[in-house]
Amino acid sequence: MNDSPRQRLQTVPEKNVRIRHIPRELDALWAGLHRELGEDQVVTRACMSNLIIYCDDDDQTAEIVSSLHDIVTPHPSRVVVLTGLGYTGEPGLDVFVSGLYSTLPGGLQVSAELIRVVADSTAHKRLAPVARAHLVGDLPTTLWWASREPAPFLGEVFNPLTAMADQIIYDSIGWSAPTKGMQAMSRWVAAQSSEYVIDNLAWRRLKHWRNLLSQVLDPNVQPGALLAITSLHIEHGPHAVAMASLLVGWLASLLGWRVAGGKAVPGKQTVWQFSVSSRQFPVTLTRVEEARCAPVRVDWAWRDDGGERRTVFADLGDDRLGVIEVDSDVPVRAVSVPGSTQGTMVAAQMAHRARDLVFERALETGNQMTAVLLK
Amino acid sequence: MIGSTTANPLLAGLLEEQVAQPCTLVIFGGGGDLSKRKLLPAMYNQALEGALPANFALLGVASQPMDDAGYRAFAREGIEAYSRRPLDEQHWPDFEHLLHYESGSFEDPQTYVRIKQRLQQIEPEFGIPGNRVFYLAIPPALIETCVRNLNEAGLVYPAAPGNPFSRVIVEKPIGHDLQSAKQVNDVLGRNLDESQIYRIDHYLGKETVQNILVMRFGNSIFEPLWNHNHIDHVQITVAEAEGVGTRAGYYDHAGALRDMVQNHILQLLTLIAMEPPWAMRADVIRDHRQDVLNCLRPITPDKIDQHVVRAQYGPGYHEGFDVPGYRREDGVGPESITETYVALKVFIDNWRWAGVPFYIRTGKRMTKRASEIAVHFKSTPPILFNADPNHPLEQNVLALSIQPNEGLSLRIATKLPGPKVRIFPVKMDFRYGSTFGDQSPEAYERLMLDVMAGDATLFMRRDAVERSWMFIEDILDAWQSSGVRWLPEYTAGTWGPVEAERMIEADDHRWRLL
Repeated sequence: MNDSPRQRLQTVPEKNVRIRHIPRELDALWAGLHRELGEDQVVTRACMSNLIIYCDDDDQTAEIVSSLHDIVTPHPSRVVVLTGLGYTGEPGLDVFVSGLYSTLPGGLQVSAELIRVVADSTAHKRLAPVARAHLVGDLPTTLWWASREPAPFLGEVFNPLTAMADQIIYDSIGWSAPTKGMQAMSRWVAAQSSEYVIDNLAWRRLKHWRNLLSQVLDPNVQPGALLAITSLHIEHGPHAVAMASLLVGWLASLLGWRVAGGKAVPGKQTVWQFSVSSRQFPVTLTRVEEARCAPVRVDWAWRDDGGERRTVFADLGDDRLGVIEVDSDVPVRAVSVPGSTQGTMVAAQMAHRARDLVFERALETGNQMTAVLLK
Repeated sequence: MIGSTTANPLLAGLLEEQVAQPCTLVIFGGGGDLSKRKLLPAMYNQALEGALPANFALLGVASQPMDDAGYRAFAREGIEAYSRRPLDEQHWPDFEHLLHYESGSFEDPQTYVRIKQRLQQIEPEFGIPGNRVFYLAIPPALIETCVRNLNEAGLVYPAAPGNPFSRVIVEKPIGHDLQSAKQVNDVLGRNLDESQIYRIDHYLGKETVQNILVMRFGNSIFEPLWNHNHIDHVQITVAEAEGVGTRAGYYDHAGALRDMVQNHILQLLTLIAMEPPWAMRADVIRDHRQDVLNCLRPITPDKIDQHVVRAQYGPGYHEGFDVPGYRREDGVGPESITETYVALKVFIDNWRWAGVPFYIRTGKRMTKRASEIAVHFKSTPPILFNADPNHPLEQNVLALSIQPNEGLSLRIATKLPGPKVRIFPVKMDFRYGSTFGDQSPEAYERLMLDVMAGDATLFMRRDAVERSWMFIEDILDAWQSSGVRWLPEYTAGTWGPVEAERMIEADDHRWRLL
């Protein structure tokens, strides 16, 4: 018997409040709902994390708020959404509170208490103190840096927020300056020692590619494919060069490749020369305008006793990745890739409490790759 | 093929998520009810999750004449009817492509020759390096034949470093009593290494069951209380609302004691009662669970009447409809004395649990489908808020609900608003479904991935199976020698016979209302 579709959370209408009244107003939200319940029904609040989200402007804020359902359904949270440059009714900060909940036979289950803080051009430095004052104690705090600017580029806002965070999530997709952003972020990560858990959502998007490549190129499945590589070609869609570079950084860091040189044609193609075991081979990233914002094709070539061999991995569309056996009658092997939104990825990442060293090594290698291009 | 196993550096960071290894899953009984209702939907759901290995194929084996296309239609029918997730037309062709079928009798060695030939075709086509998982979804009487034929046909690689893995999944119950269980295990042991045998208990695959370990050993507040000094008693209930249905042929030979207590409930008991493990490793966990089984106090013949109640359901109601009594079910004889309900009071004779009764009840045609473990803590001292003997404070109860809604709850005393100090119990309830939104994967989904990942933590080892049988064998022997020709009845749709109420009331306790 199939399950019925998941019930979407209900929203308590947003209310404009004063900063000092935020706690009182949040309590009033649930007290008001409680009065509407039957005598034997209760409001249940189970909170697992604090989530601070920094957005650039009102449009991005609206987009992010609409994705909160995906986050707080599996991960009930106190959410503080900060808008760095938005419209405010009066100079300074505007604050709103609302909530998300689900209806159960026994009452209501609170999934999110939402505090939205909007700053005008004069007040963005005051965002961090407001957030700090309204976090729930004894819970981990995640900072989702949703801005299109790499975090270090807005250090005067970013740095105070990191001081209260246990985990920092960002997304290199759509960065306005991806190469410099990668370099800046890599340097920042390297400087943080073990203070934070850090995740790039682009890395999370690569999970299924990593799974697929690691399984199909397994030495026990394709002997020699990893060790005897002769070339690698990755096609990616717009705004995905950082993601594709991260994929290469992952491969290079685990397989011991050393970047020997590189050349980029902005907006079109990037070619690196890697060396391993005294051999050199090219790794090429090619932008495909009509493709989606991700790697869409990986062409892996290697040489064994039988000559040159290739395996091609491709995004087949409809949440599927496939393996195309070149020069073979074997049909395409396709695997399902569950669709995910930014929200579902954030929720999944919030459940991780340990640093991802594989990611950090991939990022570091990516930085080395970037440095070669910038010479 | 047999070759060396080479490390794969690209798996770094992925193994933490229990990556299933490339393999072929061969389901003996692939055309049967278990496959249709559970196994095929489970594999389909895992495929949708992207959890199946990229290099994977499935071969169903059964006596029903079918070709690959017919088997795919069979699988589709089962998925549409029983899958946790609806069938997705976009992804169905990808999954369908993985399914294959071989028809034949399990007793015919030629069937295994053909299976081997099919595997030798499938494995290179799907890039599978020889790893195989054999699921024996077949009647227990055929296990010996099947395993022997697997081995003789060369389908199972020896368990040795560098060899592709061969793993065999066997459905519980193993055997019908201790002697037959040993015989089955002997057959398994002669043809397989113990590390290749996965005795599956789907109850252990449920989220709440696994959460027991996290709750017990991941929170320091519970462990100091988890002993005879603070716990009054534990109630374990596994209630089914359905009758025997189409399983009368099996059930009338098994009964509730074999079917549920030996098969599942004793394993839940071990998780609740075990000592802290020093690592989350399969054999470490299973060693500690085995310790509990070894400490179970035997129920001797002179204690049977005080510690064990058995009964059959009589006519009653289910979902508002009249239902017949057990003896009038199709396939059940009119003089059957097979128990459809059993209640036990057991003790674990170790330092931690000395004197703490564990009450177990399970049965069919009970009020509703519910499985729960409820830990009742000792009452507060009879002073202060518990000073009035006419209105004693309720005990704190920590309940782990296994089905239908997985979660846990804690009942505590709290003060009602107002000028007077009035105490009232409050239940704090945590449900996975509502708190985390999505339902957890079905047990078979999780367990099948565990097998493909080589994690045997949630599977039964030989010693646990045999020790469980040893415990209930005393009860079975006493029943057999009792000469009883009829059993107490309980009305279908109730919580069980009055005899079970009396058993627990004799200790001044009551069965918890679920």
